[in-house]
Amino acid sequence: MPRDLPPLSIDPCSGEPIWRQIVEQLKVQIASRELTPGERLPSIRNLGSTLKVNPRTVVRAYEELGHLGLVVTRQGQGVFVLNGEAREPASQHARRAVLEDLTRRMLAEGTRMGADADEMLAIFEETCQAMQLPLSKSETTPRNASC
Amino acid sequence: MLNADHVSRMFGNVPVLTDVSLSFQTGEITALLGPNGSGKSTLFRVMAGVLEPSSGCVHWDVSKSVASAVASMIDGWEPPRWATARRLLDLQSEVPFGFDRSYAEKLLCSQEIPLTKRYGALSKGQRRWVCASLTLATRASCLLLDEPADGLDPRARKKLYDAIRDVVNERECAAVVATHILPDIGRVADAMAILQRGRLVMHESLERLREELCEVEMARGCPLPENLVPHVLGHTPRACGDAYVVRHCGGLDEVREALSSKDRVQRLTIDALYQSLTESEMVLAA
Repeated sequence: MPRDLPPLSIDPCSGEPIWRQIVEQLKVQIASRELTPGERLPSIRNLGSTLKVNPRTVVRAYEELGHLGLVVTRQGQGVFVLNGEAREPASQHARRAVLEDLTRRMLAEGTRMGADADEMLAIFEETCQAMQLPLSKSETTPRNASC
Repeated sequence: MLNADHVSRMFGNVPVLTDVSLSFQTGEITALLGPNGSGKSTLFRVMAGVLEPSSGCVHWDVSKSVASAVASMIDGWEPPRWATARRLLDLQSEVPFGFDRSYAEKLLCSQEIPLTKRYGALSKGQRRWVCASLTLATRASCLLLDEPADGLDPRARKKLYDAIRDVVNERECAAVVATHILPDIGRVADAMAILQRGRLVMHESLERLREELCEVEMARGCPLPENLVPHVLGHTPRACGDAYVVRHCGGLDEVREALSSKDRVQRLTIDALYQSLTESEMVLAA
């Protein structure tokens, strides 16, 4: 009996193509190991029915994840999260891309309001302190490099 | 599959539909949109075969085993008021192309509509739900639903659109839903067709539109880069800088590359697109 997979949600008002929304969420779930290597993704039919979207939208999302090297389709069996080493670089890359995108959006908004990088960085550090996220002062060693 | 081929319809001297060509594919839900009086209901009547076009024609796919191709819920038509919901299910079971009675009962049950109650004694929303259930449970290869959610509360509307998606996914039929409330249908639909004054002004895949459309807000005083100019569909001056609706086949990423970091680009929602389309009559060149 397969476990209940972490849910996906579609925001129809976001303007983001639905297949991309599926890809982005699955990327994060794979990168964060909410979906474990070797795990089978929901069938195309099932996911279409759960999300109330056209099954072809799901097909497109799964194809993209395949191109990204995160999943593999086994004929007649389904779509599986790729195992360990084959998946790892792609999964790290996907995680990195999500984080970069977040940072870029934050900086873009700040720039529009006339803030420069130094001001943004200062606010970033203050916010980290306020949220009690310890900030390592040596900028060369990234924190949590293993995860 | 259902095709309208250069359909025009006059009422007296008044053209209500002008040269409308549309095809609806199996497995797809098409939202038929347009302001009041744009010809949606007339197009529906023509497609359902209850109204003759003045010129042009409609093709139904009769290659399937179903004897007839279209099940429709046409605005203005209602079942007899004296009939109970159960009697209406009996009547609908007689249609030649098949009727999934248990599915219809399930739909009625989900809204707690008693089968023993007369149609005329139901509330407006409940009547709408009964009509929609009868249509959705009919095994036709094309479902025509004219304002199916009219009078339904938001929860029932969502349920109805979910049911339309389920039916289309499971039974591999086509559905056309006329409405002027976009967010509900935009969630489940695959394509949208827009009528304006009886003419088809757009028929496009929603996923493609989501992919290609974006709104660019230039930093104050900056002109739009030359290479984006051919892709502009609309332009609004704003206090903080000029805003442009841009359609680019390369999507958001390519548009972003053409801009500086001070300009803002974001995806345009289908809702916003529809609003600017109907307000400014801008043309959607591919």
